[in-house]
Amino acid sequence: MPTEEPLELLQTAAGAEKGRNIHDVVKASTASLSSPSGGVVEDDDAELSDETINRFLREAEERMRVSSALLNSSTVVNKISMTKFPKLDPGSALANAPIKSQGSVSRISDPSMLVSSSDRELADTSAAAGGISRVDRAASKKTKEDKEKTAGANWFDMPRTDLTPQLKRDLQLIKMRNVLDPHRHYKKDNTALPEYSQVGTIIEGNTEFFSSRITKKDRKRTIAEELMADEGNRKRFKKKYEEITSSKRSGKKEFYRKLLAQRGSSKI
Amino acid sequence: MADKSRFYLEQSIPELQELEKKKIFTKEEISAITKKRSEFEHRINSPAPKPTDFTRYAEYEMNLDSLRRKRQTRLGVNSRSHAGQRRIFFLLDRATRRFPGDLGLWMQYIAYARKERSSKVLAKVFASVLKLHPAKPELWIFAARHAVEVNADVTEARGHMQRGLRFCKGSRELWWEYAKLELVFVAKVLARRRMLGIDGAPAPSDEEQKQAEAEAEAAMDLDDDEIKLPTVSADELSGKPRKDHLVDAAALEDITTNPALNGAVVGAIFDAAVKEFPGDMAFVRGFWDLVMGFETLHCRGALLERVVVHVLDVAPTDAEMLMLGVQLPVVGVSVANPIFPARLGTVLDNMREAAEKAVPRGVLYERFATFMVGLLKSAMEEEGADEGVKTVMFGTLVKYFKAAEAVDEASVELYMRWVETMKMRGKAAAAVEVAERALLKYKGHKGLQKAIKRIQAQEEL
Repeated sequence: MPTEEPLELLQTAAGAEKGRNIHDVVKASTASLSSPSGGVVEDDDAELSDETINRFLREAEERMRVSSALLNSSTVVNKISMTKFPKLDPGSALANAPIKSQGSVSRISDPSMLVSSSDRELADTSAAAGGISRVDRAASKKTKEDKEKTAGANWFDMPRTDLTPQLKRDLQLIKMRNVLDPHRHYKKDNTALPEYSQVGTIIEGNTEFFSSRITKKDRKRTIAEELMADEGNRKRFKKKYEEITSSKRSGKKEFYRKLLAQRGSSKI
Repeated sequence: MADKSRFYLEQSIPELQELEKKKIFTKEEISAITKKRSEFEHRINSPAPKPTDFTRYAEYEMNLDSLRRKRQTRLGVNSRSHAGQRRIFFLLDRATRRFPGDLGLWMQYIAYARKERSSKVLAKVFASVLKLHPAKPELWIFAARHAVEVNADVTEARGHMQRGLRFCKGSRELWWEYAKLELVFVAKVLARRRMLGIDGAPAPSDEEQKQAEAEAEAAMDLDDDEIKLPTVSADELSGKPRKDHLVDAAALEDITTNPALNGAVVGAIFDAAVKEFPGDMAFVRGFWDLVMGFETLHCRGALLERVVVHVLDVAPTDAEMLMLGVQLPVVGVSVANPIFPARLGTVLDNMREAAEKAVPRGVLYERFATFMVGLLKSAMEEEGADEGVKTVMFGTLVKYFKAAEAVDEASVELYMRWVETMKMRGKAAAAVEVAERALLKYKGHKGLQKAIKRIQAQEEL
């Protein structure tokens, strides 16, 4: 062990009644020696060794005991009991009452509760706003612009339907195909006209020359034209049309006309 | 729908007739009220009403009722009927029946019943809302708070808490609040004993009384989260010390033998709670903070010790939890108290041991530094603090700062504390040096740069 002050330090440390372990002290004191300014107290940047700390604390305790005894030798320090208590706190998860009452006036604090969201939407979009939809106008304009030109890559970029009068008639015919042949029955079709569509021509294969082929003479540009080209069909449609109109005409004006005609004949 | 609303509307006819007869409302006003009510009734009886329909109706009825009351008092007309209040209760009842899941409506019901001070309705509403929403811990806490504050019934509050815990075992808040309830109860009992002069303590000296008054003044402008008790005692009030206690004073004065007043209940709550949250250190931390809030409670130390014992058992290497054990000896000990140096010695011993065990050592160093700087600040402010103690604190801080730096676990926070310490010691140059060294590690940290600038500005002054 080196000499100088550690000896003294050791003695004081050993004298300490704190029950500190001697081994610790020795270790610590050698450590403090290894640092250049081990025991110099004035420089507090340097670490204090354990025994120095002990000595300091003991001395401080003695000093404080004396001073406190001098200060309040008569009065006993008495703990002041609590006068403030924390309240139970349900936290922010608890819902608030929507109506706030101040004095005799009650008000709904959240303005969004005054008008329901559906009403607000209605007021913003419909004729209630003077026929000018404040919110929707921009939105609808945008949707018009944004309307896709094609059905997308998943549909091989099928184009938007170019609804010519001919195509419209053909599509209507397909929808009403149940009238073309009285022996064929189809499901009811209430769907709208397709948004995206293309018209193609089926070309028969080599094997279908006799089985499913329309002769060159019967080929027309549209379905409607093909139907009208057939004599039998035309007659049937005419007959059907007559049936329907006659049943619709029964009674009403037709009946009255006939009645008048009968009266006229009886007069003569 | 129409006949239903018609039925409810017709029920209010006698009341309106009475109001008209007594000239509280004019005929036009009555027709306006009817029109408005009809509109609201049709709305709430529609096939798909919204909660806001009920709220708006209730708002209208509340305002109408307060107008009626004002007119009645002004005209000097007395009416025995409580039709207005009953109408609103009935409306809120219908609302909560229609929308049992809307807590806003329930809270509105409770708020109105509270305003009207109708305890019967309140009891009914609390019972049904708790029945319908048993898994919402905040409602149980709210009910317990109501029981304590309004009914002044701790047993009822305790019942709410315990029933709540059967449904929401996993709610930390509920456990904390239950512990808080019990702590407040003990603290209140002790405060009451003191007020009544049966706590065996001598009468407070003048100085103390002044201090208590000053505290009371300060408490007046505190936020709404605290309950304030008057500081006057029964002796002061009656002007003479009361000697005619009928009960056995000795038994009453001895609070040490009563386990309930020594935190046994809170301890039991803690033990039960930690079983629900194995390994949840955030829960323990919250509990610790809660108990720390009760500064003058005599059983605080014992409770904190219990927490520390548990923590050392389940997480012996967790840095944050070790810190709780480290700081325990000086908790509640004033810096000017003669026993403080000895306690500080124990803290330093504890810290030495903890530093060997702690797993994120950097965290321990950081927490210790924060704690020590806090102590140091109070030592600087307090008059009775000894110079030697301060020197020890500085020395220890520097030691651990260097230790943290040596193992390369010094966080930004730690460096900030270091700079602060150096500033407190009046070593501006050293503070700047530390901050610059920290900036090498944490490049471009705003706080550090600001700290350097502030020190330099002070130097120039």
